[in-house]
Amino acid sequence: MTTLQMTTPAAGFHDPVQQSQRAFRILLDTMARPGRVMDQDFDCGHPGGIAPVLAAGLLTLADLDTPVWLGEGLDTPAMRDWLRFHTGAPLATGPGQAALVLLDAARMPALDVFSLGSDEAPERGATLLVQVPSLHAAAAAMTWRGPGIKESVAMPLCGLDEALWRQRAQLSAVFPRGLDIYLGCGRQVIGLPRSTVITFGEA
Amino acid sequence: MTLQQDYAANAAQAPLEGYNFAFLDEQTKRMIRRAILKAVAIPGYQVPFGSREMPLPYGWGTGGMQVTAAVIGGSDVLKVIDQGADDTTNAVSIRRFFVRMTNVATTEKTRDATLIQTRHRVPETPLHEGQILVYQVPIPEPLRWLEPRETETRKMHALSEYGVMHVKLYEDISQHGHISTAYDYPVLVNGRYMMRCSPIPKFDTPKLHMNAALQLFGAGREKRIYAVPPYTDVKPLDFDDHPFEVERWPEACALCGSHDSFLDEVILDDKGGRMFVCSDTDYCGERQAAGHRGHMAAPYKDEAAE
Ligand SMILES: [Zn+2]
Repeated sequence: MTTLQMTTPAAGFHDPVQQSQRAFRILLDTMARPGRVMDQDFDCGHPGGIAPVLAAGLLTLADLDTPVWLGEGLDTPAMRDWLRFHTGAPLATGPGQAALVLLDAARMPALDVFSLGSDEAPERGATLLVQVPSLHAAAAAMTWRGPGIKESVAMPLCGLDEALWRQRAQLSAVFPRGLDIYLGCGRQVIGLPRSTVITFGEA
Repeated sequence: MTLQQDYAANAAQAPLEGYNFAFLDEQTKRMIRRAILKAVAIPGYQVPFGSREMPLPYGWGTGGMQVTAAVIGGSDVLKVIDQGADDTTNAVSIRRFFVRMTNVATTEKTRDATLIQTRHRVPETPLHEGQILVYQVPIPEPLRWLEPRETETRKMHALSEYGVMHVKLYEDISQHGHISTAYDYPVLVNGRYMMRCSPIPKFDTPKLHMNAALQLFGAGREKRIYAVPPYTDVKPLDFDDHPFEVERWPEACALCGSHDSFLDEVILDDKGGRMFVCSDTDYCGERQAAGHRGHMAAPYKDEAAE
């Protein structure tokens, strides 16, 4: 038994083996089928202010080998304690050193601050977990095409600036370098691998 | 006692006490899971991972088993095939292993499985969106016989510089009049990465193209994971004057009469007697159950009873 600290980190998975498997399958299915919304059908502990589905993503993917960058507004003592306690992941010394990045849609940095990997080791491109206000909108603003998408899928901006989406669209030119992105809202998530090609306006 | 002996001796019991779910420790699963996600995001690219010892020798599908172990969950329905059959030693061993380590349900029916681990075949029954196909891969690098140096093949993939493979295939054509590669035919994934399909027959290569299922490839000895996401362009390398063609057989399956499946030749006697039967036992069985008959099939049971 250890004595209680001044503050106890928020809970994580209550059944880490089974819940990390289920969370992984959601991460896998959404990355394999870009644009498809999936629901996390179970609860997990998380610090306040972060979507449960992204918390589950961090608990599933982060460990000693994955430096994590906490974006503006998310780099709080509670978040740091929670991450260290449950995953042991080190905080990245800068955004470019991070394997995993947690971001808020309202406070996004330019995408080029993150590691895109290299042509010989593209897998070193970072994975971004982005908290967005909504995954649904009446109006579609862009079209996604590529592996995992049967023909094309019309997508809303999901609360991100169009300028940021244009940055992401331009990254297709440096494929296989790139960023792999999850957009999370509550318990819902969408995957956006670097292989997805984005165009704007009418399809 | 090795684990191998133990699970071979004791099939279909509760998950083994003292082992983590699906055998691998959580740290290893996490590392493999991260590699799988990057593989899906970069279709056809071989992601290096830190392979772990599995209780089977290399060559028995340790890479596929590690992928399956990292993916499998309690609600999965697992099918394991080797050369199209569910009942070979390899398939039975791997299926028993996962039943002992996870207690998941298993099936021989392709359409009922959520997770299929395979060696050397793609099932004949079309896969659907809810499925993941895991291939056991002995040698992941398509350029290995043309360029033995890993540093060089890595550069060739980085630059998408695949001229040597075209030269090799063209030499084949000038020597044999056709491309002699019958297994493991090289493909280009999403117009970018050259990929090895594991040693599946050329016949199965077109099934990778625009498949509704997610396809994952694990190579244990060489520590590589790669993937073909659903609905992904997979194109066999060929030439305008020598287009890619799959093998054909002189007759239909002797048991189910199928003209559309991959057939194995079975020698019946030492006087040259032989027959051709489907290599996919589930497919063949389903067709027979539906009343399809080949020329050497026993009469349909219900008919015989009447
Ligand atoms: Zn047959």
